[in-house]
Amino acid sequence: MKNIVRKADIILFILLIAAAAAGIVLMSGAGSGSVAVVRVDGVVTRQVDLGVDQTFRVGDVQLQVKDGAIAFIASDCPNKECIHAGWLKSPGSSAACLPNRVSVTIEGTGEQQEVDTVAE
Amino acid sequence: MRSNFSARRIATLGALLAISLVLSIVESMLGALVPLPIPGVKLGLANIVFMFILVYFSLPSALVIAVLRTFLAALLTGGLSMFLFSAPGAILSILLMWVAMRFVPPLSLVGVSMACAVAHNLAQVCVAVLITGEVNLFYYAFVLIAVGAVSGSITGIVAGATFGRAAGALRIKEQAPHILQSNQGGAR
Repeated sequence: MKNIVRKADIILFILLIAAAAAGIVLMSGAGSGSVAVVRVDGVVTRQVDLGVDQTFRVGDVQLQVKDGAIAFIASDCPNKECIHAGWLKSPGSSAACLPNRVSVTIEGTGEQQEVDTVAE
Repeated sequence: MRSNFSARRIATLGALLAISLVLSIVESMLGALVPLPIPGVKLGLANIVFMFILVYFSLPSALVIAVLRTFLAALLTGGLSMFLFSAPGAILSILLMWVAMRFVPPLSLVGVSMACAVAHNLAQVCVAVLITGEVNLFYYAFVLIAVGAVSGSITGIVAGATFGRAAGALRIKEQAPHILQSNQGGAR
């Protein structure tokens, strides 16, 4: 029993590690898998993949996706509450521009929901 | 080892059952000693015993001992629900080990236990997805593939290093340890 490890074992080990590494890289490359759901008047108008950086308009507000997070960056509303809500990243968090009736909610992994901001 | 129910065979299997229980206690102590950031990661030391039974005894013996082990472990630690959860996993992993030993002859004990650990981890993820309905848990599967490869090779190396001696200590005449025979034939 001098040769506990055989060639086939080493090949299997390398294959498994490679498969795992490839899978992890692919999955993380596709962003966190989270999706931002944009609603106007409570109706879903757009679903945005947070893995793709972009800027887009919904009515009179402008939203930006960057580094897996989304934020209101421009709006014609008086208080700019939506812009002050900042960047949304974790599943479950949301922000809204009430005058324009636009809301954004992050949905997705749901694996680790955490409270990141508390509205006051 | 002629008769299926010789006193020696029953006594030996009983001792192996006790060893597998001790190994799972040792494993839980190791887990408390070295807390890992990933939940559900275990070395699977008890699998060494089941591999041993598969090599020197038979598939039915291994299955019986495995079910008894999960039952006793449930009595010692958790409860009946733990038995219901872990018994299918134990049976599945032993069947996988048997298939790997039987039909993938180039693999040694190391490869067999690696394949078994990975398959067991993947099955665990599938069950978790079924129970929680959270498809994103599949992401975790890739982490568990790597974990299974590492933990499986560790237990496999321990198995390969100890089986000959353990068989000698238990006075087991090698019945049909094809996985060891082909090793000697192929590698030397």
